[in-house]
Amino acid sequence: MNHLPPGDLYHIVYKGTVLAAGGTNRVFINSWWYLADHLTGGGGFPTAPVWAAFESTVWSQVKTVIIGGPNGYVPVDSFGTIIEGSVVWFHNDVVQAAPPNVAARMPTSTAMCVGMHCAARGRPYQGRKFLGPVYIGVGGDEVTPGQQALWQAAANTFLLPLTVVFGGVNWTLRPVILSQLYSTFVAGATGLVGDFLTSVSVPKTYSSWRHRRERTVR
Amino acid sequence: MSLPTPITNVVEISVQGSVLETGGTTRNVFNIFHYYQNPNQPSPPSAITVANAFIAGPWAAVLALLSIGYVGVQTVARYLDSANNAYSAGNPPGTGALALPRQPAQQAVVALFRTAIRGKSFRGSKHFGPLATAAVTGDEIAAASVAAWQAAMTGLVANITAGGQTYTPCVVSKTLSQLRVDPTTIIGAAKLTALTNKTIGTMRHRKEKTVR
Repeated sequence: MNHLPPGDLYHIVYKGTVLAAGGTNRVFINSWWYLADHLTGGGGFPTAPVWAAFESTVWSQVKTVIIGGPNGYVPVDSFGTIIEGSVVWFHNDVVQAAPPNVAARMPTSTAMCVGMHCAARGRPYQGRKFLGPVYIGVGGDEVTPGQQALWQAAANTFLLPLTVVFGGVNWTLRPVILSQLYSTFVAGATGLVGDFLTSVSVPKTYSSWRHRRERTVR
Repeated sequence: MSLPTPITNVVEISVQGSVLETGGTTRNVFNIFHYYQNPNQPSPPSAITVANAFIAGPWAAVLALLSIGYVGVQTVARYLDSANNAYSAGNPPGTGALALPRQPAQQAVVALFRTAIRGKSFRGSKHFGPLATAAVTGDEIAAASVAAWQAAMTGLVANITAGGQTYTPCVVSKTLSQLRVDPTTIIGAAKLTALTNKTIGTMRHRKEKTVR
């Protein structure tokens, strides 16, 4: 098992909805894990600054490649948890900008699957994100090289650490893949299994995420 | 539950097409249909005759709604009544009519077929694709195409005439039938209704293998 060093673990969750053609809303949820270089005790950690840093570092790019507007992704909430060893804190935030691109989209079940990789081998150290809704102008089975470059640029932000200053102290949060199967959340945060994110990959082909599919309309 | 009376003179029509995917590979797009002679008459026409009647009739309506990315390869048919009957090739299924661009190959229009008998063995579904981008709006078939798809699916539950005899579309239960050795027993029921989903479905077997 590859253990992460002790630190506050941040789970940042972004939730939105997409109005499906039949009039129902489909929920889109994506989340990211970050490990801070501090292990605090009993709180006293940055929350709003971290969410703001994520917004400006990652979401500001992701929102440019997914489809917004009334029939696209509509932000609902951003929230998450901070895990200090064996203690979990819930945080509800307000930031989440709407995607500016308003264009025809693919069905909600179609998504861009971004692969996430670490130095450690094995499934506990790999991750995926299904981002959408996606642009309809694919014209076949693959995105164009230009579109793929945009997706790659957005996905590359997943690799960036979040840096914030809180209480006069510099905090650095590094993106990680956390194995929720093998990790244990104990005092001292010594049971975190995972690894730091080292690369992301963007395929040319769109994938499907059937939970987000519009319920059948006849 | 007692099984329905076995049906006889059942033709299996395999409509085989392909899609050239953006990455250069070719994906198969197969659809299988079953028809049985109703009522039974002596000297049934060949399976090829039935298949050709199907291609010229109900299939033509479907083909008119597919993207030009669909390229028909061949149509093969055989009677299921003997396990020793081999497939024979009929008229090819043609090419889709709608202009590019098209949706990814896994996007499909889904239709459900119902019979008078309850249970999974007596229901069927078909996935039709690839679809033209212009024929899809968001998650659903474009409004202008809905009626045409419903009409095409209705055509798939209508009788066809081949060699002067009538053939009825049916759902064949591969679970309840015995088709491996002679004498075969074919359990199935006539299709009564077709339900066309407006929502676009997925057929992941037809998805282009991931390209990076």
